Amino acid sequence: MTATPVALESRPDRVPDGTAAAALVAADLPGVRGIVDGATPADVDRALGRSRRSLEDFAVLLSPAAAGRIEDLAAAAHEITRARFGATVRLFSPLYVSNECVSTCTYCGFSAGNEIARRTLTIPEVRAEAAELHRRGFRHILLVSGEHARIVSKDYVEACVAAVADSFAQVSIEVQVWDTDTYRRLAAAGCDGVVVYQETYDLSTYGSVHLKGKKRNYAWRLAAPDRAAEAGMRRLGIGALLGLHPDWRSEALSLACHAQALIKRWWRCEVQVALPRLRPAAGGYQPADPVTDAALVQLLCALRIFLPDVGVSLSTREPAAFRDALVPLGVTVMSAGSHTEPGGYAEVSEAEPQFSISDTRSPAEVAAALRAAGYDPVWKDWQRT
Amino acid sequence: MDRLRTKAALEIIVEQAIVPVVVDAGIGAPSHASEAMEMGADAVLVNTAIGTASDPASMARAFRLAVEAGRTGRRAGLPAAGRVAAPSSPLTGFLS
Repeated sequence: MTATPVALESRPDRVPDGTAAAALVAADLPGVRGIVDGATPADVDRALGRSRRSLEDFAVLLSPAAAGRIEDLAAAAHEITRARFGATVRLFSPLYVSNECVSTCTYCGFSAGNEIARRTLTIPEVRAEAAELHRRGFRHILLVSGEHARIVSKDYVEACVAAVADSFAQVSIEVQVWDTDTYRRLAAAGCDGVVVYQETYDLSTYGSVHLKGKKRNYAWRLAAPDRAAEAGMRRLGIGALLGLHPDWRSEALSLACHAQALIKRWWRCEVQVALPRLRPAAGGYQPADPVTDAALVQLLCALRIFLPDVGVSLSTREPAAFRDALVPLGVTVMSAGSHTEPGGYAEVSEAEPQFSISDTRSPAEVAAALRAAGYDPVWKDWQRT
Repeated sequence: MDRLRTKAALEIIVEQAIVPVVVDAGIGAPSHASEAMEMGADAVLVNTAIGTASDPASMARAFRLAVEAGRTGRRAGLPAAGRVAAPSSPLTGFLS
């Protein structure tokens, strides 16, 4: 696992100074990682007792010592979430517009080498899908696609954004990463948010799972949220695919450090973190190092305690009962009724999904479950003007 | 009397008492009365602070307003101040 990411085209392979990405690169993460294993129960008490926690405290909360105190972590995370977010969960839906992809990523169903049914929605089809999602109650939408510079071009994504911007209060994109000028164009078309998962923060693992394509440029991707924020995007989403790298704790430290740096650097933006665990996908991928339920719960609680205001998103990758159980611990954003193949809402689609869904409840069923648990499902909390 | 020590004792008394709690002594300003009411006291007893004020009538009125403010705030549901109530059912029971 020593493949080295290479710079392609003219994209810089170093992160620019003054960005959140630069702050992350400069952080002594191996040093902080060293705190985890040596943390004592007394350290856990101290970290829990503070009103504001440092990255070092977060490391303590990720420790095996803290795993033995999971109920205390959960109580603190619950109380902080209630104080900062109330009893609310925002609902959104992904809308997959294309599964065409020229990148080869070993864990992804859309990976270039996979012999799968490919489909790219026409703009009228995008409108039809969006209309169906609107009918189901959604006002926040996330446009998702594979990475294909010609088929999923800037112009195409801009047209997709423009096609749905009028009927949705907030539009985000999760597509290939672009330069600041392109993000400005998309913002002008009605896009409010950009989601870019780094997938793994470990450089060597990154190189070993991203075999071909522009995505191999680690630094260009890492600084994408900075470019999106500079272009005026209001919501920034980041995440790590849990299970790619054997050490979930070091991934968690990088992710939390990145989120903290983004919150500090782009204080006008709302920063949201996702904790997706890898699911089986086309291409036969099985995660080498699956993250356990207990580890995910500890990570979620620690993240909430460390960053009280960060949004935490949980997708339909996780089973229904597990998703419901995680809401009180700090989840603030959920997708519902998702399809990860292009064209799956308005009709049955033959296209290959990106990954398999576990929580198959309809949006109405998820909303009802939230209400039954004492939460308000929020379909809209923002209006573009 | 040391106000901090009074406060800690008052918290315990309010939590455990099964009869109305009236706070006397150590209430030197309207804000103290408000704080005692916020903490769950049922009433405050004030003498010196009013009796020695340069305008006792106005001071008495200030205490009345403070008590009303504290009691209304308490009833409106103050957030828990640094004390985590143990939930009736565990939050992570689903893991076992």
